[in-house]
Amino acid sequence: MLTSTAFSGPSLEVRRITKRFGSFTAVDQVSFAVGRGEVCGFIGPNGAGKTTTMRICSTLDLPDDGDVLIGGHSVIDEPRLARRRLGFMPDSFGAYSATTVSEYLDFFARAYGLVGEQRVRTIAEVMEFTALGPLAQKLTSSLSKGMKQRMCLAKTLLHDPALLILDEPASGLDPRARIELRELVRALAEMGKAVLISSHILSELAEICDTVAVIEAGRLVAYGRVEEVTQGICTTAEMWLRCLAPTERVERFLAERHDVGRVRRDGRGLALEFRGDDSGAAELVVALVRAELRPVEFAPRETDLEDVFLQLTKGQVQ
Amino acid sequence: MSDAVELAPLPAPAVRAVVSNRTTVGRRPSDRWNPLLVKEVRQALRGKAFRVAFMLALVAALLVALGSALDQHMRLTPQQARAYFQTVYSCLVLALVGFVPFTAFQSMAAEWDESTFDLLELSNLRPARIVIGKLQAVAVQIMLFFAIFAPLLSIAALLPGIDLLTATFVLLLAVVVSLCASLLGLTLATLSRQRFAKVALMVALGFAVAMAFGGLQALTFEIMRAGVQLLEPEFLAGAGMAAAVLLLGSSYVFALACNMLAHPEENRSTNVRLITTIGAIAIMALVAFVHRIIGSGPEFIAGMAMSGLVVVSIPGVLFCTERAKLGRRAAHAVPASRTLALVTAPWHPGGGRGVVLHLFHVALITTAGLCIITWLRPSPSDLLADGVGALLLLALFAVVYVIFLPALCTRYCERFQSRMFVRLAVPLTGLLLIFLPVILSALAGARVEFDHLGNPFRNIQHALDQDDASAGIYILFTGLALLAVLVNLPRMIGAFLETWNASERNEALHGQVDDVARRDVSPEL
Repeated sequence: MLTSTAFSGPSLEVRRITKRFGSFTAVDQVSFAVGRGEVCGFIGPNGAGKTTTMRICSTLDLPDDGDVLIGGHSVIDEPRLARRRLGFMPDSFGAYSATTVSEYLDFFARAYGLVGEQRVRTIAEVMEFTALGPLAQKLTSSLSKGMKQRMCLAKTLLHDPALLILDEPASGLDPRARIELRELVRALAEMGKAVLISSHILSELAEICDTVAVIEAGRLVAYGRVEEVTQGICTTAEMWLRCLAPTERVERFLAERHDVGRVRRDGRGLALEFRGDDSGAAELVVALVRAELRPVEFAPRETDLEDVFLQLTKGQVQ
Repeated sequence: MSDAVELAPLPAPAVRAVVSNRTTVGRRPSDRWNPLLVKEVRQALRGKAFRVAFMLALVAALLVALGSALDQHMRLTPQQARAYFQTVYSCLVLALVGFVPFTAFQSMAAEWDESTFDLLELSNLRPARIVIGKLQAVAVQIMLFFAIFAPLLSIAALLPGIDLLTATFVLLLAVVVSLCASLLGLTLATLSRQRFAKVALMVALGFAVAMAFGGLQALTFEIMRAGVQLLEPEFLAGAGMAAAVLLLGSSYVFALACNMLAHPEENRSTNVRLITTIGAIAIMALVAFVHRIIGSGPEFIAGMAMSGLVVVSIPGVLFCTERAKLGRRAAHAVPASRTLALVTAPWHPGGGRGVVLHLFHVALITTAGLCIITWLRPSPSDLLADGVGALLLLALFAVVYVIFLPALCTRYCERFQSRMFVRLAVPLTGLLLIFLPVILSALAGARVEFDHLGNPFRNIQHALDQDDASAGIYILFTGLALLAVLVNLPRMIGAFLETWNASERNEALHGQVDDVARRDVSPEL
C-alpha cells in the first residue's frame, strides 16, 4: 500500500462526485484537486453544496457517483487509510463539557493512537503552534469562539495529516482571531500540507489561497489558480473613480458619455466599465475637471474574489 | 485589513516535527486503556450528577449503618441481619440500576448534543471500541458505588443468617443487571438524534430500569428468604439458561449500538448475523447440556428447539428485508478467494443472502433438535410423536412466515422507510391471518371460531395431538414452504452472483495493489 510520503499525486483529488438526497441533487459532478502545500478556497452561496462536498472528502458522507482520493486512497474503498491522512474541522464542532483544553487534546491524541512521551510531546507542540499553552487548564466551556476554533485546529493537527479540510473556520471570529487563523493556515501550507478551506470572508481567502473552486447549486462553476479565475471573468476594463462632487452629479455626467458603460457605486467611489485606451482615459479626466466634478482618484480597478463570486454566482439556493 | 490591526507576534510553527515517527518509547500504563474510559471518568468525576449521586449514596449508607447500630446495638437475629443486608443492598441497587444506566444514556447522547460524534468517527476509534470504552467507564462508576457500600455489606455478610455465597451471588447479579441496563441505555441513546424521540427513549429506559430494579429486589428477597441452594443442579441449569439468554440479548444490544454508530454505508449486518448463528448453536448446545444435568424428556428438547426457531426468526425478518445489494464499502470486504466468498456469502449484507442464512438457521436448529430427540429415544413407535411433529411444523412456519412476504416486497426494501413498513408487515400479516377469518365470520353472523388454518397455534396443537387434520396441515405448509423458497430463488441466486462478482473485483484490486507494492519495493523493476 502506498504511504502518503511515497504518493506523488495531489493530496486531494475529487473525481466527478454526485450526491443526491432523494430527488434533490446536492452536489453534481464536481471535480477538483488540491496539491501538496497548496491552499484551495472553496466558495459558494449558502446551500450551494460546500459542506456536503467537504463531508464527502472527509469520509463522513458517501457520494452516489464518483470518488474522492486522499493521498491516493479512496474514501469509499479505504476510508480508514484516507482518514489517517486527513484532518477535518467541521463548521459546527463540539467541545466536551467538564473537560479542560489539555484533557480534550489528550483524549483525541489517545484516540489517534499516540502513546507515551510522543503523545505528551505532540500535545505540547500543537498547543504551542496554536498558542493554546496559557489555556491548557481552562475548561472548554469557558473558551471564546476563537479559542475553541484554535483548540479544534490543534486537535485536527494531532495526527499530522497531509490534508486539512476546514469548513468555515473563520465564521464568528473577531478580526484578530481571523488574522491569526489566516497566519496559521499559511504556516501549515508552508509545511507542505494541502488545505481545502471554505469561508464567506472572501477577502481573507484571497490573501491565503493559491487556487479557488466556486460552487453554485451543486455545480462547480469555476476552478483554477486565483489569478486565472479572476482574469477569466474580466472581459472589459473596469476603472475606479472618486470625485469630491456629489455622486449623483458624477453618475449623470458619466451616463452621457459613449466610452463609459455600466456604472455602479463601490465604497466611497464608483466602479465603471471603460471602453477607451490610455489617451481616452486622460480625456475623461480632463472632462471631469472641466465639469467641476473635482476628481481625486481614477485608476484601474483590480478584480478580486468578491467580484468573481458575484459574477459567477447568482445566489441560487437549491 | 491586516495592516489596520496591530498584532502580537504569532508563535513559531513548531508542529513541523509532530508525529513523524511513531515509536513506543516511554509508553505509560494508561496508554493501554480505552481513550473513552479516560475521558469519561475525568468528565464524570467533574460532573455535577455523579458528585450529587455519590454524596447521596454516601449519606444513605451512613444513615443505614447508624440506624442499625443504634437500633440493634449490633446484636441482630438472622431475620434482622437479612433485613439489614436487604436495606444496604437496596441502596446499592438504587445507585447501580437507578442512576448508572442514565449516566450511560446521557454520555452517549452528549456525543450528538455536543456535536463531537463526527470528530470521534474520524479518529482511530471504531464503534465497538466506543461502546466498550463507555461501558468501562460505567464499570468504574459501579466500583465507586461499591466502595461506599462494601464495608456495610462485609459486616452484613459476617452476621448470622447471611450465607456468604448467596451474598456474593446477589451482589454479582446487581453488577450484571447494572451493566446490562447501562448497555441498553447506551444503545437507546444511539437510536435517535431528535430531542422528542430522545425523551421517549429515556422514558423507555426508565421503564426498563424500573422493571429491572423491581425484579432484582424481588429475586434477591426470595433467594434470601427461601434460602435457595445455589449449587443444586436445577438452580445451576436455570441460571445457565438465564445467563445464556442474557448474554445473547446483550450481544444483540451491543451489536445494535455498534451498528448505529457505524456509517450507514458500512456493513451493519454481519455482526448481527454472526451473533444469531452463534446463538443458535449455543442454544442447542445448552439444551443438550441441560438435558444431561436434569435428564429432561424429548418434549423439553422439542420445546427448546421451537423456542430457538422463534428466536432466530426475529432477526431473520430483518435479514430477509435488507436492501438487495451490497453497499460500496461492504462489497470491498468480500473475500478475494472465490470459495471463501461463497461459503461466507450468507453472512454478508443483503436480502437474498439473508434468506439463505435464515434457511440455514432453521435447518440447523431443527436438525440439532431432531438429533438430540433421536438420541433420547432409540426405537420410536411414531416418528412424529414427542413434539417432533410440532417442531417440524414450526420449522415450516419459520420459512413461510419469514421469507414469503419479503420476496414479494423486494423493491420496497430498498428505501429505509418502506423497508421499515415491510418489516412491520411481516408479523402483522401473521396476526391478520389469525384474526381476519374470525372477524369475517363475526361480521357474517356466524360462530366466532379460531379453529382455522391461518392460526399457527391451532395447527401446532393438531400436530401435537397427531389427529386426522395434522396430515393435511403438514402437506399444505410443506407446499407453501417450497413455494416460498421458489419465489426467493432469483434473489438468492442474484445474491450469490453479486458476491462472486465482488470477490472477482477485489481479487483484481488486490493484484493491482500488490503490483504497486512490488514496484515500490524494487524501483529498478
